[in-house]
Amino acid sequence: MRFLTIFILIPLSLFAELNFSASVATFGEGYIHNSDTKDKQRVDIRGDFKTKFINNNEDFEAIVDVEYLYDKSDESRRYIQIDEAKVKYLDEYFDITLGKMILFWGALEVYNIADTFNQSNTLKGSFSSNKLGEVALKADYYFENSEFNTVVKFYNQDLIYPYEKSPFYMPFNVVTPDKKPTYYFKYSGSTDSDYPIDYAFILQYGYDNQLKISYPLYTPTQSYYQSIKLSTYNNIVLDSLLLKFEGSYTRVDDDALSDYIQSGFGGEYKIEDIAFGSSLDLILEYYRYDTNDNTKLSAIDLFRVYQNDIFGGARLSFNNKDDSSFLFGIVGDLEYDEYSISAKFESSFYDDYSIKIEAMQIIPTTSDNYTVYKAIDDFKSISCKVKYHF
Amino acid sequence: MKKLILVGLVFTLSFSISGLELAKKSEALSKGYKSSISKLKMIMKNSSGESTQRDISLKNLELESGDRGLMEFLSPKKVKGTKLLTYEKIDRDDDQWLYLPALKRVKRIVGKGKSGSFMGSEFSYEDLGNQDYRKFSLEDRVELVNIDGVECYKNTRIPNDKKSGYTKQIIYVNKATFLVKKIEYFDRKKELLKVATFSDYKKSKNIYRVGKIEMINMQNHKFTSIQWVEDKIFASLKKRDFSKRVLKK
Repeated sequence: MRFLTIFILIPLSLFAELNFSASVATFGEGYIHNSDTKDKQRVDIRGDFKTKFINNNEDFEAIVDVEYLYDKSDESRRYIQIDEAKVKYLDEYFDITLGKMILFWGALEVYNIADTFNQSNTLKGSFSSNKLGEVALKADYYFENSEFNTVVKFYNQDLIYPYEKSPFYMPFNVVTPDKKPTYYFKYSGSTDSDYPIDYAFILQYGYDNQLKISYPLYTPTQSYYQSIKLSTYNNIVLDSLLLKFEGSYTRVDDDALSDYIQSGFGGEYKIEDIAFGSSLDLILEYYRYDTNDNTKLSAIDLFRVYQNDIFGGARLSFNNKDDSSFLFGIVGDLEYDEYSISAKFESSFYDDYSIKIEAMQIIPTTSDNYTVYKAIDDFKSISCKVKYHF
Repeated sequence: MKKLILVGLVFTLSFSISGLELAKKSEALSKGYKSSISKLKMIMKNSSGESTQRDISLKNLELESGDRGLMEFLSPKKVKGTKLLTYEKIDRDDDQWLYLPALKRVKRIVGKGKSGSFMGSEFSYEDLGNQDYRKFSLEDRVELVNIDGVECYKNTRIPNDKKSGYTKQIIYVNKATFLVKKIEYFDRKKELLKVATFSDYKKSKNIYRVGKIEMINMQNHKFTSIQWVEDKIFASLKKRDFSKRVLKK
């Protein structure tokens, strides 16, 4: 961290342009579930402070993004954390970035198979899209319609789950891995054709994004292992329909685990002006996980959610000055007959404020299989987040 | 009757210009700027008069195969850093990508979405996209009308794109200057949906640049105006300033 601080602070005096943006939010969530030992509510305060410096020639920039979380009950959810702290040199055809960074790789809406660089911030809940920044060196070379990226992630951030009373508590000890690098080589681009395609291929070598689960001394333990993974994510525009595909093949370097294949298909269709200028996006996606060797640990043994699942959702955008939208979606597990249902309303008000109200229900499998949904159990929640942007 | 036809013929010949000639002549006045960097102020008002402001930076590059544009939201804070990259295409839907900074995600926008509202305003993605005359079927007939005391040519154009949100547009061009003064947009039910008024033109290096566009939705009575606060042409931008790389910068 001292290394990063030096890297960020020394060049500050050279920068000509300074952008600062921040937000503070209060979040409250109430739960209905069967457990007497788990919390019935959660209240926290969140802050996000982002600073960006750019020099006169616009060929050097530094970004620092700091997140603050204070949970009323759970001490593990009280932190000040650097999500991003990076410096970037930009040349005519290439960039070099060093520091803690968050990247996004994917095409699908709900679950991105190819998005393996950052780990999820498990303290924000099992279904959070928040990510942990990873310390890495990234080099990008740009062609006219494509780019080639090389990324070296120096080590994996520590994964921490919320405390036992949280409904999102997972009963795992996580074994901190050796500080070994993971390498990513990515080639991506777009075609200029009647049916335009955005494509990306990623070769990954190092720690896999999937964690192994074992039971030494009967304590469920998650640990990292090495793998080679080839991933892809793609969009194709067919008239008014956006079709998406993500997939990966992973060769695993661990005798307890099988090599595995993940695939995901989806489509998005927009209906304009359904009433009062609002529009409706219809989204349908399917995700699958297959192993090469059925005698080894399966998706369910590894606590994977998206192993044979379908998502159907609709987003109603009101297209008003407050950017109000309503999202409804269901993820259904076709194998274990379990569901996650959510409805979300988002809007801004008085320009600098925004509100998000979300209701969620999990209906776990009635089978004997111990799935993620079963660990969370029969569960309903309603949450409200009010954010002030400044 | 013969007299009437004769009068009509003389009247027509007196401003004898076809829809195509009008479109070419009008468009030529704003072409040739090579590239531009602008700052825009967008004000949105709802039917009860409540307003909100958005500040936008806009870069454009002229290309024979279709212009390229990069739009970035500077305010309000909630949408700051959201970017829209457009590659205009003459013979098919434009390619468009939206960058969402909170998710660090680049998302492609599909064709039909272009008739939807641009960030909650009364402008659609289509309104802000390519207005090249080759994207329209132009009626040959041109009428001479008076708009707010200004003599204007009136011509009807029909979007070639079947996914357009409009069945037709009626364009009014100032007779003296050949600058667009007003466009009326008709929805899929062939009813008048919106009216855009163009004003505050500035001439720089023999190129006319619009200074303000006001769009009124005639059905919901909402209003959006876009005003060019800064505008620099011949800005020395290149193709690489419009690659997908710039979305994540």
